[in-house]
Amino acid sequence: MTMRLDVRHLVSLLAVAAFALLALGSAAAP
Amino acid sequence: MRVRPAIDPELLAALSVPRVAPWLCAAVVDWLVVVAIFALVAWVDHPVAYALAVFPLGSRQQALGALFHDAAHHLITRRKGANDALGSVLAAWPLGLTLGGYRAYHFAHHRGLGTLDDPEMAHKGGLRQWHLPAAPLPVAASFAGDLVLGGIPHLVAAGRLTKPVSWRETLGIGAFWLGLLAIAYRAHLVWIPVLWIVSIATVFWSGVRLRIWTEHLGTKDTHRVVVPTWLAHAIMPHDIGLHWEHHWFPSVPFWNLAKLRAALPGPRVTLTELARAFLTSAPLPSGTIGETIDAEARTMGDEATVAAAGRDLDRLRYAGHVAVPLALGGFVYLGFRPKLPRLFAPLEALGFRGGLLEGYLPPRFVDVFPDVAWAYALTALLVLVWGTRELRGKLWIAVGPGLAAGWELGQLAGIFPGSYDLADLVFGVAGALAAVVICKEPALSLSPAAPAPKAE
Repeated sequence: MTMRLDVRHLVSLLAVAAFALLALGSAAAP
Repeated sequence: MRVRPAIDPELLAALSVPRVAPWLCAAVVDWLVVVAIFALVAWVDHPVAYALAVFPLGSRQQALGALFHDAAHHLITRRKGANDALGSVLAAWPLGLTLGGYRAYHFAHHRGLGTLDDPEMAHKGGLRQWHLPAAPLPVAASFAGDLVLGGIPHLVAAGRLTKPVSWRETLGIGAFWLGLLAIAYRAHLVWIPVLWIVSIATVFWSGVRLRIWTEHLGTKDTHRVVVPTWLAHAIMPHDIGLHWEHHWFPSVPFWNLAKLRAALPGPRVTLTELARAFLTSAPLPSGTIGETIDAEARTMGDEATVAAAGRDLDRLRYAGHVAVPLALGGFVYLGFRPKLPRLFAPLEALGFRGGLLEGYLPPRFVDVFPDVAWAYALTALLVLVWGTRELRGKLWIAVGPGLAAGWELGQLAGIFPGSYDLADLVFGVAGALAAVVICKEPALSLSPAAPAPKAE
């Protein structure tokens, strides 16, 4: 039996990472 | 064959007596609200206030539309001169319509309902935007387009269909508007008629578009729609949503339609049931005659139609709850902040300068709003991807408010760059939680109409 990764985990991880980057990037001083 | 609903003739006669007072009261209240809106906008005197004013103005224009519709049916008073004078000055002319011109169109609509003699069919056939089954994205796009004057071709078509029928009428409405514009010009208040006309061409028209959907689409009769009271006040005022009752008994003035409805048994449908039927209906091209939706909002759409509508609705949910808040937050962040952080340096290299609109919104709002919008967008995305039933989904969803709170608390502890702000913390978490509450259940679900899954 093969383990299949639910693609929703990947989508969620990418979304959270993108938002975290957005937060970090927008907080950094100009 | 449509059968006229049975009603006690004495009751009908009693409900059909016109009285000036209820009509005039409604007109005066509607105009007072209009004056209050203009006064408030002038007092706030902010571009955003002028832009947002079209929504309440359009709502009151719908109300005046309902009143002039009653005037067209001679339901203010039996004295024709007084009926038409009140109806013209207080309702029809301000909306750019004449009673005679509208009567010619509207009485033909009453007589020809359910046939190609109905002039409304000419509108639906000419500007083909009322197809069944309704496709959510084009329909949403046409409503959104109304807000940027996309309704103008419709207004031109409606203007042709309701042309004044006499010189007296043309002179009347012409003198009314010339006088009004002259007064506005002398008083340096030209913005008032301009805003009024913009509102007619956007929000008011959008409301008419909605009524074209809800009144007769997919039936040769009229849908007997139940509209929640708050929504009726906003978009279908003065019981103009009781259109089924009106079509069967057009002698009853608007302020008696609710009593008429109570006296007539029979099925009624909610706006949600009707919307579901539109999405899953058997095909009926815009401007053609057919019965695809029955009095209980049942329809004969096939499985492929239901599946396609479901997919489109899903896309619309991602667009509305994720893309739109993301873009709104970005717009406020990039447009109203004085300096862009390093993340946006590539944009600056491309010649984009941030803060072009700086000063147009309160600085606190500019600080907090993007955080709220982005927390909403992320959490909404997680809710839409996972639903709220499974534990692993709930854990992922918790990351939304968790990130909003953790970010600010991390700033407080000095772990993350930037400065801690209690308002950011509170509103960010509130935005994320709002997404859970709002997106948990779809506003419109196709499941009751969808076929049951086949057992395997």
